[in-house]
Formats: sequence, C-alpha cells, structure tokens
Amino acid sequence: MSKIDPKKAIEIKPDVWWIGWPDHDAGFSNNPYLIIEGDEVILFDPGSRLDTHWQWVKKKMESVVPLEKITMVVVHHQDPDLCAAIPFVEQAVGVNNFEIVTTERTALFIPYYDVKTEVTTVDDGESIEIGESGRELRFITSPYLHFPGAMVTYDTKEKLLFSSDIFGGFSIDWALYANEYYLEAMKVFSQPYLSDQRHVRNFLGKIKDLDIEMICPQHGSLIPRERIKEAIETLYNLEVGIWE
Amino acid sequence: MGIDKNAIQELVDVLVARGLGLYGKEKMAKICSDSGVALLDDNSTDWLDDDIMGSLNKFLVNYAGFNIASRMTVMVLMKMVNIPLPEELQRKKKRKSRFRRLLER
Repeated sequence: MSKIDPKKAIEIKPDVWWIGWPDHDAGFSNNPYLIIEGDEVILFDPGSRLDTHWQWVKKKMESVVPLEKITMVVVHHQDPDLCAAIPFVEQAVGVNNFEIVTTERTALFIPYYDVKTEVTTVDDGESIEIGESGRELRFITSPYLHFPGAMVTYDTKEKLLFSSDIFGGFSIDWALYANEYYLEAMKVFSQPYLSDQRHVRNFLGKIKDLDIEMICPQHGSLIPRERIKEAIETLYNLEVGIWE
Repeated sequence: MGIDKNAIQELVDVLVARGLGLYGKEKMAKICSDSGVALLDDNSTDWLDDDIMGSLNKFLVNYAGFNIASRMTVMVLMKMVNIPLPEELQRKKKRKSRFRRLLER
C-alpha cells in the first residue's frame, strides 16, 4: 500500500475521505470520515472539541470542502470523542441548517453538548437516501457495543461499513490501513470496551450478508476487504466484557 | 392474531404502574379514557371496549407519545411480550435526507 501522509485528508474511496488524527502518545487514533455526494456533505462522528483535535479535522475537511457545506452529521453513539465537536459544526453551518442523524437513545444525549439542531432519529435497518443516484446510508443498530443506542452505517455505494467502536484498535504504531498486527490491536481495544460476546455475535449476525469492501472504525485502522474475514472471526471468538 | 390476552393485560398493567409513578394519575387517567381502558380506583385496569386490540394499540400509541423514554419503554416491553408494534409506532424503512426533501419542495 502506498505511503500516506496522516497530516492530510486521505481519499479512501472516490469522494470518501478520512479526516482523522493519529494520537501516537495515547495510541488512540480518532477517525472522522466525510462523504461527498453531489451537493450533500456527510460528516461521520466529528470528534472531540479539544482545540488540537478539532483543528486537525477542520483543516483536513476544509482542504476538501468548506465546513459550511455540511448537510448531515451522523453520530454513531454519544461519546465526547465523537460528538463534542458538533457545536463547532453548528457555528459554521447554522442551527438546523444541517441534519444530525442518530438513534433515539443516543439522541437523548446530543443536547447535552449544547447542540440546538434537531436530531433525526433512525432505527435498525432504516436508510436515508443521499444524492440523486440512489445511494443509501443504511443504519444498523449495535446494542451495548458499547452503548445501548450505538449504531453503525453501511454506505451502499462504496460498500463501506462505518463501524464506530466495533473493529476499533489501540496502537502506538498506528497505520491508516490495518496491517498484519492489527488483530492484536483490535483485541486490546475490544476486550474492555465491548460489553458481552452475546451482543457481539448478535451484531455480527446483522452484518453477515453485507458485501463489505472496507470497515472504517472510529478508532484504529481501516480494514480492507482482504482482512475483513479474519477480523470478523477474531471478534466472534473474542472474550469481551471481562472487566471486574 | 394469536396474541395472549394475559400478556396484553400484563403489558398494560406494567405501563400503567410505571406511568402512574412517572407521569401522575391525571395524565394516566386521560390516556386510559382516550384509549378505551378503564383505570380503576385500585390502579388496576379493565377494558371499556370489546375491541381489546384496538384499545391496546391506542393506549400504546398514547403512552409512547409522552416522550422518547416512554416510546422506548413501549418498544422494549412489546418485544419482551412478543406483541407487534402498532403501525403508528413503526418507522419508515427508507426516506430521503433533509437536504433532498428541502430541494424537492
């Protein structure tokens, strides 16, 4: 795979961009993504409101498209490393001038970030059509992984699964694309964060028939098609929820 | 339809018990009467109408209308007792983005 510059926005598929930042000290990369479909600009999990973090995201995003062009923000659960920057989007775009999409359970917490924009709630299996080509964002709930209202998004056009914390990894030696060591990084992240093998297997059952080109987690590395099978098998057999 | 009437009664009783604690007697009495459910003095319930499923659906829709939490309560309990969700509480499986809907106005 060609060498990438993590200081720049990376186009991972046509008009799909990684605009995250690797925190090498924490071993905790954060991965907001951007989809541009015609006039619609969809931002997934904007991230933290720490100035250092948000400035990365903003700068990378604006190297692709102006911030005020955002039409939708998808948030996969309510944690601050995904949601705390939504007010910055609101400042740039204007209250209710864009759409926030998440589950009902997560929607309860979005106003806690001082977000005024109304939230569009979705449930398991619902889709939102974007653009004029019939492209859909399909939402799949992932209960208790690691929040009751957690969800993931499947992009029907590029066959990308934006998997939030599922398939995430910890890694000091971070790489944008998963390498041969990534499964261990994924285990280290998943064992304390994911609640119960029952919930993991329930979720894996929901995605088993999806044709997935790449898994795009919120933390860690992107998992290309050739590594997806082993990642799923690893997660299926992993003992999780063992914190005492 | 093959739905266990005891399960329906249990579902309503649980919601009434929770609703009395969360929303108060006045609101619960109103949604009961609006739905064809009698809220008795001892806080048990009875059916005012022979169309139990119709009354149940009205009651569930009215209860779910309180707020997001009450809607989630209804959805979780219905799953537990295996009763199908009223059509009014079911969601569209596919829609257009707000951006597209605004463009088409």
